[in-house]
Amino acid sequence: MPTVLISGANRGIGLEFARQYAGEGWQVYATARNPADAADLRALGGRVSIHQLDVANERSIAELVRALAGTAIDVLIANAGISGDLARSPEQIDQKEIIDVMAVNAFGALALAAALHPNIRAGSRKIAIAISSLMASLAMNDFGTQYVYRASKTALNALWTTLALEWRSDAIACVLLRPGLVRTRMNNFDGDLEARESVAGMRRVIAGLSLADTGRFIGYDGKDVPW
Amino acid sequence: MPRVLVTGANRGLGLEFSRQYAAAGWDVVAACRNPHVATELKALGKVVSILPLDVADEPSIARFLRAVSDIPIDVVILNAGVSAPPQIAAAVTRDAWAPAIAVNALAPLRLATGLCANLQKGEQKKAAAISSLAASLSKYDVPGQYSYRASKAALNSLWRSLAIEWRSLGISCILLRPGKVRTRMTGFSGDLAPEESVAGMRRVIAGATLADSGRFIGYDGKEVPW
Repeated sequence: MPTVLISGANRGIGLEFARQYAGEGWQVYATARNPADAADLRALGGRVSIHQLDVANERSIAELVRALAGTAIDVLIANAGISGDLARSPEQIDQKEIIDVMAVNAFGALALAAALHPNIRAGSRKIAIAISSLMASLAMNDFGTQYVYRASKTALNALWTTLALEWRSDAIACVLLRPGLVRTRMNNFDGDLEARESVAGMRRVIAGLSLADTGRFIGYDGKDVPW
Repeated sequence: MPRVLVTGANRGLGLEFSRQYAAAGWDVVAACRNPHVATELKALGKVVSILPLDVADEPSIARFLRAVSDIPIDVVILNAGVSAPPQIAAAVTRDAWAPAIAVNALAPLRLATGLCANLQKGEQKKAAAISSLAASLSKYDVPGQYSYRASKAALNSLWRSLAIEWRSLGISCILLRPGKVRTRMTGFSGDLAPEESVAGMRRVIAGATLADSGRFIGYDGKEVPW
């Protein structure tokens, strides 16, 4: 039975990943900042084991690592992300705002992956996924706005491509995925896609990945996203 | 007489920018953390005004902006930056990455937005941020540079967004790649002397128009792939 770990799995895209993988018989390790609030996740049943995790908190990551010591993880999906204050104008952005958002969206994803390196190495698929965004793309940015969120996803892309270099010798493929504009609470249910469609697409991409794909940035539709 | 503002001006690229612009007859506002020990800057003479600025410190940025408020500035060069030693992913803690984000990514945005009125009063209206090939997602394969790459890629993202917003103000925001320059920050390893890199970047700045806003251009005039 393959295993997948999904961060930020209590709602939105993360919850949908948990639902779809559990539905296919995978053992799912689902994390949330507040497991007590994760009713939808609990409703998925026994194949989903729920763990507390705040990716911005080093101690929280360390506790997760202890709980999962010796557990092989075939696919890691670093999905946990926050929007930050999207409406902030550039002159209002301060160190606290950018560091708080970077701590989750960029460096939190990296820290989680790094902490679970032994688990991923022990797995049979050896895939580390980070959920990025079209907002990460510099080439596609002709709109501006959402300064910090965009920068945090571009930073995530920089970290994940660097991780791809480090983990090549372990044969672990590090791939960035673009979900598309999905209707979830994080963007006030304003989008083109339902979570089900986006996640089905991303799972299709994940299923087809090999080490040759390491360092790529791929959409739910299978197409490469311009940097 | 045109005026340029340079951050991180006490050594390296910043010092060289100050030197070359001063020699070309510009008024230079040179910002650095410790003006009292900026001997090489002081040696450039009276055309260079040296002001204190620690881009990692928000109150210092606020004080600096107050000190220069109202003066027209033609070109702003956000150059102050920090590097980080190579690390494995597991060693990248907040102490390692937060300063890089604060200095390399946020400070240029904070300063530029704070200098908007100064740029509007100036004639040339150019805001240049010193980026790096490390910011390129497609073209950089040096391992272990987590914090530095993320901070420069984040800078590129913020600058692109600012370029779009400032188009209507007629202010061009460009990202510059210096090349691998022999300075203290690079341990004096590299292909280029500061003179050559900065001469090239000054040429790019001089030739930049609003059509170039949002672009990432090397000291050699060539586009850098994102």
